[in-house]
Amino acid sequence: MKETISRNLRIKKTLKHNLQTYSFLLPNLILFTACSLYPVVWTLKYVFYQYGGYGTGKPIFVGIANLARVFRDKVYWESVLHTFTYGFGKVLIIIPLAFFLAFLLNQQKRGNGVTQSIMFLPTIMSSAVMGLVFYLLFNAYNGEVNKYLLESGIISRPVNWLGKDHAMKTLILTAVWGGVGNYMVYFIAGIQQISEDAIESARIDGAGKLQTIWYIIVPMLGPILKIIMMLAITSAFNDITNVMVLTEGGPNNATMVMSLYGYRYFFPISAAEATVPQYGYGAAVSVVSAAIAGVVTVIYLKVSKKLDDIY
Amino acid sequence: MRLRRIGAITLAALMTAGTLAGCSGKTATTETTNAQTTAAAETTAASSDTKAASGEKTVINIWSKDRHDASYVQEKVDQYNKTNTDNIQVNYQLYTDNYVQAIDMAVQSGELPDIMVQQDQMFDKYVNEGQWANLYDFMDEDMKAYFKDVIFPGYNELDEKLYFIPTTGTTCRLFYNKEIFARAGIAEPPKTLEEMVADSKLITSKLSGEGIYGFAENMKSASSGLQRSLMVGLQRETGLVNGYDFVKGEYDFTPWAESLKLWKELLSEDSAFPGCESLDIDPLRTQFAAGKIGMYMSYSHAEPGVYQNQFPMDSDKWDCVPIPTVGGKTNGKQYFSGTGGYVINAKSPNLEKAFKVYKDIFTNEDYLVGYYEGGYGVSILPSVISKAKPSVDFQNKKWLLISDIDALLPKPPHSAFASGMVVEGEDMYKTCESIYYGDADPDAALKDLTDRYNKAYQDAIKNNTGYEIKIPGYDPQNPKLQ
Repeated sequence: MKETISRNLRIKKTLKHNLQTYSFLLPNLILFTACSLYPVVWTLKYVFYQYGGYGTGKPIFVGIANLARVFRDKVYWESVLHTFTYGFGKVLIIIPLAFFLAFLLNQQKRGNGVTQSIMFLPTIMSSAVMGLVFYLLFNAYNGEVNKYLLESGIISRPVNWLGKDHAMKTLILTAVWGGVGNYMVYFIAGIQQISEDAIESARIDGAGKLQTIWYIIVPMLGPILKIIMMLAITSAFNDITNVMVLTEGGPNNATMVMSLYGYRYFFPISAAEATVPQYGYGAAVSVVSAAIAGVVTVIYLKVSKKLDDIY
Repeated sequence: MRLRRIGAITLAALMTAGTLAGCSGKTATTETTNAQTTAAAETTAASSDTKAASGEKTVINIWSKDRHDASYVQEKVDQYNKTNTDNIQVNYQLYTDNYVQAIDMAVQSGELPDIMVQQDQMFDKYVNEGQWANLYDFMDEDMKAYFKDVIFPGYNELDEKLYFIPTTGTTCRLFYNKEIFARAGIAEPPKTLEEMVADSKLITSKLSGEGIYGFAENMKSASSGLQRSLMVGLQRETGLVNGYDFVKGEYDFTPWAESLKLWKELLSEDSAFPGCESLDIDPLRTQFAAGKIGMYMSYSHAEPGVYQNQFPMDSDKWDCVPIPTVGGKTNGKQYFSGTGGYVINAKSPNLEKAFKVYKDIFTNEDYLVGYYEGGYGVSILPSVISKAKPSVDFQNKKWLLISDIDALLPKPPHSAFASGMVVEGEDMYKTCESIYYGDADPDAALKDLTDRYNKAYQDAIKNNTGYEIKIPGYDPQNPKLQ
């Protein structure tokens, strides 16, 4: 009896002590539940239903039919392939480029600060605006790129940069331009953390500029490189605005990525009268896409453990 | 210490309250709107349930999806706001993109406006939910008589209830640049799809050096591009409505193969405007107005207004003709759609006033005559047609008007119960896209499309999410709606 009273008192005391903490946690908890947890649970539920949205009748339970359909859906798996092409294309270009720029602009030279700011500008620009600007640059009929290439005699006929053969490359270029400034800033922060002593001793030992970069700076950037790569990969998997504004996933799904493929079942993009949402199938596509992104992240984390060991 | 703790808890409580207020949008918005309305009756309130207290103006909200007539409608609304003696303030808002989604969200949150431009998808979705008011409940005998020619059972009149009144009509035509045709030595616009391909190639071969090409279509979205072009030609060519045979009660897309093979040529490099794949309709129109495109297909009601106001182009330079078909075949009519119709929210707290606004502004003969004369739509009302002096476009270009090749067509299953019929794989538009870009074999892809649509249709009937649609004795040359 005495023990129970003392335990209750202890719990009361702990609760009283933590009341302040819980009070501050509450708004976040509510937001997290409403904006993250609830949509996830909602999505998981509708994986098992056929539902066209409000005003289209009650959802019909279809079991695992939606998931089975995802595995039969050729266009979806093509969109997964496009996502990997887009993601790896972006990462392969953006990481070395951001590092190169960071290394150049980290030096104490006049104008570097301004250049850094200019390079960072696309990061704070809206993706939709960026997409429109790139459309003006790359459209085949009066885009600035074709105009310049035609005037300088490099091409004799307009190149269809947003056509089937080049659209993915144009998208990757847009993504690189939009993200390089951001990763450059991360690299600059990483480079500034490296002890000057380590670089100095390498130089004393006779290391040249390239050797210092390769044997000292790159290995010492290991932990930050791991984070940068992780951010680049995950953002590439979720990139949707860029694709939507520039190509809407076309022509003929040539630039359809998996996030946009799922999105179009929730919010049909076209103005077609007969296009209606398919929430159940969209949910199934989203769940499978999230699983794919999760698997890629886990594989990456395992591989990148080596980067930790280097440091 | 105690004071600090009380302060911290109060702060946390305030943050929580703020969060909860953010989550409960409807109550908060309504209260805010009411507060604003009380403070200033003239304010442009966003909430639809702005109930007027004594002396305050009743706010009637109108939503539109149409940009081409926005300036004309806004002018009429402003005039009404200045002159009406019923203490009504009308707010006119444009939702040109994602109109259907905006309606969906408004229905769910109870924020639907009082009056909305009618659009097929949103109309079909909510008509059985009792969301739209029966206009017969408010119309007097004079009004019924005035609009009797535009009441079509099975279209705007369902189960003896009238939901909207189309005052203008639209269909699709082939628009062409007369100057470009003359320069390429083409005497007259094409009548067959084969001639159209040849003309397009001829223009491109002769004038591409100047940046002028034979043909363009807004193919960024296959459905948006094809609904105003290929699909319409196929309705006349095959007598089927978007692949559906109303006599047999089944889909058959296989007759589309010939047209799609010609479309592949039409969109090839030696014919089409570069970048058609990523073209939206407005950039296309700017290029047509700039004299860079020989032909394209679009809606008859919109283009005159576009070239008069949006992207000015000399009226003498362009004209339009029916959409060419393979070999000039015409086995049926092509659809025309009633436009200029408005639905009224049956759940509006100001239903009677909403109808009054609708009647005073949108069914007023001055408005209807001005609309037709201004080139914003082609009138289908005999009284308006007899009184109006339409713009030169409508006087000189006979194919801008609704003619005997056009008819109201019945809805095939995928339109009649769109959300109940789930087609697995790519829809008809995307399948056509894969054919004309050369990624799929026409015959095999169309056979597969036929099988998938018929399976989805049969599944819908089996699952009670759809129903059988057959019209005994249906004649594509003289179509009936039910």
